[in-house]
Amino acid sequence: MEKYQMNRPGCRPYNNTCGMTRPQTPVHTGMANRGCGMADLNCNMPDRGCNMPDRGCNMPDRNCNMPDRGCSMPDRECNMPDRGCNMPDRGCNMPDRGCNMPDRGCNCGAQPKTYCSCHMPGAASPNAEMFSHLKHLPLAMAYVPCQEFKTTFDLCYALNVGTIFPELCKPFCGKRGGCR
Amino acid sequence: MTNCNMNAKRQLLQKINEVSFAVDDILLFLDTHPCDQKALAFYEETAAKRKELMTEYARSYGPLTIDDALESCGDTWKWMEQPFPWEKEGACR
Repeated sequence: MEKYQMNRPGCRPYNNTCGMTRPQTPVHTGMANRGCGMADLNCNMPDRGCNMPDRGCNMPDRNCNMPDRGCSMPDRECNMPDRGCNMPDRGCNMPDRGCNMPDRGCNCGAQPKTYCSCHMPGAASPNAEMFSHLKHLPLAMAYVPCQEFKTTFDLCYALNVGTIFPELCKPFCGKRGGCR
Repeated sequence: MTNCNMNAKRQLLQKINEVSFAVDDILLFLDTHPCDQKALAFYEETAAKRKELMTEYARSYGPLTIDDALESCGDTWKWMEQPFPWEKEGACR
């Protein structure tokens, strides 16, 4: 690892093939987007029976990814607007509800985490726009973006870098287990 | 085997390694995208190229896999005569 250096004789031939230069591909979750930004899992939402209105079938099934709030949830009319289909993302943009609901503890106001701080020559710097689509995805789920077949490397180059697909060419820029 | 022959053999083997790697990578893609026409076309092209290179190697230097066992000579069993990789005449040297 000591001798691992980029673009020097004898090392792997990376120049601008680092994955950091590529625009992020859109995420295809395979779940039908109902248009309000929330993925539909099931339409069979039961009435809670504790003053919460049925929101219709555009909300994810609460049984699988939303905590049961129980009947101790304060009445909506205490200044929380009915969200309907336009329920905002629960991430960092969630306003304080002001009606006894606890803060979700999501570091509101914090900047989105930057991912790799390695700087390849000619690479684009990470910025908030790169991951803006993440705001529209339901929480607590893992997503795997779907690869599309585009171009392939020359066979000789492909064997040297370990993949035939330019978008999968993601050299490790760190050293001794951390980014330096 | 002369140096020139060894170089030609090594180069052909290198090409076989490159094309075999491409076949392995595209098959992984096809495992998750079984209906992708472009990927299927790429596989077909790469696999054909690989087969051609393997046949050429078998004809010149002896079979690398059992599929080409009779390629260089149909009436003797050349397969057993091939050097093992660690031997002097083996491809790895």
